[in-house]
Amino acid sequence: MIHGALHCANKELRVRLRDRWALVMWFLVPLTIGGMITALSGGGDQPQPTAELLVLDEDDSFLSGLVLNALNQGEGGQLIKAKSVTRAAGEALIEAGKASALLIIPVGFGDAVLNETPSKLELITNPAQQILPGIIEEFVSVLTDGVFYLHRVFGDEIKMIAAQIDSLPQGETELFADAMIAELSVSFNEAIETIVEYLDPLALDLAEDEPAEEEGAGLNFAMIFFPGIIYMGLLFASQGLSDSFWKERDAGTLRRTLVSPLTLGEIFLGKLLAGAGFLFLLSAAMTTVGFLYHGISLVNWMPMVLWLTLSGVVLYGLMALLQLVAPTRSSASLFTSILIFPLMMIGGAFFPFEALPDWLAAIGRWFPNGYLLEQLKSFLIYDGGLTALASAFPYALTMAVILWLLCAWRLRAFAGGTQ
Amino acid sequence: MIEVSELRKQFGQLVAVEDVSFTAPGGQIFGLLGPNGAGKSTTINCIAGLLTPTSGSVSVLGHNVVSDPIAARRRLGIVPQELALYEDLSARENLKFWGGAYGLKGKELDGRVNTVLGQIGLQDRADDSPEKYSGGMKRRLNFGCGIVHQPDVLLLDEPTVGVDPQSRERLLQQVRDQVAGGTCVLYTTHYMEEAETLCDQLAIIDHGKVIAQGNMEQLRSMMGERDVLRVSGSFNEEAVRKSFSSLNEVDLLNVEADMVQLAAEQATRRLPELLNALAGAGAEIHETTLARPNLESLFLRLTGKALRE
Repeated sequence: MIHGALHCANKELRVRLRDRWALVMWFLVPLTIGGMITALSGGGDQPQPTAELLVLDEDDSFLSGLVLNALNQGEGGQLIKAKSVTRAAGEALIEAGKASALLIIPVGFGDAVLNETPSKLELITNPAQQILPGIIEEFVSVLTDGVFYLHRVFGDEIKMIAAQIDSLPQGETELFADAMIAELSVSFNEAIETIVEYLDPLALDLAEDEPAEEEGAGLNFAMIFFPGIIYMGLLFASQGLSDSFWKERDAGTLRRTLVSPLTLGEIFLGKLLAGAGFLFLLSAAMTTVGFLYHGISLVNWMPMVLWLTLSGVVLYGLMALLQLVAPTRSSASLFTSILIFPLMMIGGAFFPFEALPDWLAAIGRWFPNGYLLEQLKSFLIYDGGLTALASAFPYALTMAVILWLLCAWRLRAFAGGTQ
Repeated sequence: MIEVSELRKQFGQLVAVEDVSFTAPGGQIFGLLGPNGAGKSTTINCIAGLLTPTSGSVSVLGHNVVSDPIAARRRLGIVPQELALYEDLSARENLKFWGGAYGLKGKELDGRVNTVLGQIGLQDRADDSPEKYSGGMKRRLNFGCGIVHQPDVLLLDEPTVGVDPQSRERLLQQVRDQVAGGTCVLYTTHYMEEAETLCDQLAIIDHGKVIAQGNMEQLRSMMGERDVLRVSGSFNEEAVRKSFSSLNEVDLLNVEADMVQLAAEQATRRLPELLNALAGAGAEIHETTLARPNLESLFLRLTGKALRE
């Protein structure tokens, strides 16, 4: 039995090796798609994009200075890079599309705030950009609200500071006298005491309910795609391998083999062994490339390649079964092509589950490749360890056995054998 | 030796082969002659184990092909009607695969592959893939794959269909060489001349039934010593039959509007009498052909139609 199967497998491998273009394509297509996705995502290592905000401070007052400083502080400062410009330079940069927005703080803005009279900030956005100007608009809106509430609470103190700054003679460096600092401190303290019950965190009854970290949060974008891309390669390869049944039938060699002493089991096992061998090589090659790129520990290499090979055998069985039940070669090609796209799109190979709506991802996880991919991700990305693969192994093996038994059942009728 | 006994094969309502029995001994070529669709390939597929007989039995060298298929197949070689080659593999690799499929290995396999490459005249192209071969070369390789393991029984299903005369002669010589080595050959064909010159024994098959069987002498004797006269022209069927009803020892084999075939002893001497009978029936004669008894005429006599129809 084994000798006959190995003899058939040897022939299968030779036939496959002659079709060098198919081998190259099976390897290159997922690698190319993976490379494109990695390039699009910047490999996950690129800095966050920042909005370039130009500020034209026509008021040049203490308060307008505060606004400019506030734009570069805190989390906003990570998103927005504010830069003071002249009107001509600001308009030229916006015209050239080299900034996201130009904020104009008009003359009298500081006085208007202190006197609670209307004043209008002007924001000119870059029409060529969509997201970054929106962020700036939102941020400026929050900032103006902040200025309003700051005035409500510390209006008197701000007036004192502004008046002091405005009254400072040219060249004087001593801004505040000790007495004034003391007066301001007391005043700030009193103001804070009036609102302390709202500000002091101890006054709040906080129930800490930290949500579980979302899957994939904080992960390298390309890393989330990596296992799915390998499954994409396995799907393409499985489809290609499964065509050998029709190729042999059309060539008459399948029928001729059935007349030889080789048993159906040997012929069948030979195809399976050769297919598994190819899928192992393909998995090993793609895994190696991915590991080198992502810097994954090589300890995970062998379990991952073996899991991928088993996954490939399942997918090969699925494709082979479709080929064997199809009435013609063209319909077989159609069946497998129709199947391969939902398997890829919803089964996590093309779009990762993390990027799919929950309900669609839930469906995709029920697909054979979706289930197998999910286990691999658990092992490789989500700290499931070898347990994730070991516990799913019986299910994967059962899938492979059932699919290949069904294929064996169909093979004799397919070959035009005993009727 | 192949023994086929009361073989019947039915596909749904269609009876493809019915009550076919024959014995093909070793060291001889047993021909299955019949028109396309007569049941030759169905019979050969039952012997090869590709089809399970509905009833009856088939054995190869004493091994029943249904109950002991592997043992039977080990002794069988088959050259299918359609080419059955791996186009991605070279001729040598094809021969190695089929030899290995029958259990040959190592030096024995290499030796047989080289021998067969010589026999089929492909030594110089042994490492080319068949897709680069001419039709005749492919046919020869197809034949080589069937004999690489030196089978005791060789099934040849119309192996010369579509083959150029040179390759055809080479193939037929190969078949004779196999037989000289003691192989039992079952040869199906619809080429009458091929069957006459090649086969030691023949079974003529039509509509799934064997209608005549024996060696060439036995089959000729079934025709008697009657020549076959074929006349073309325009004829009134009823008038021709009426005119010939009064003639002794003349069989009207076939009467059509443009052709009449008849069998008669010493037809050469009786030619004026026969032509007069046709003229008396109002026939307009264009051409006459007189032939010695052969398989064609036997088939015509048995079925009322030409073998090539």
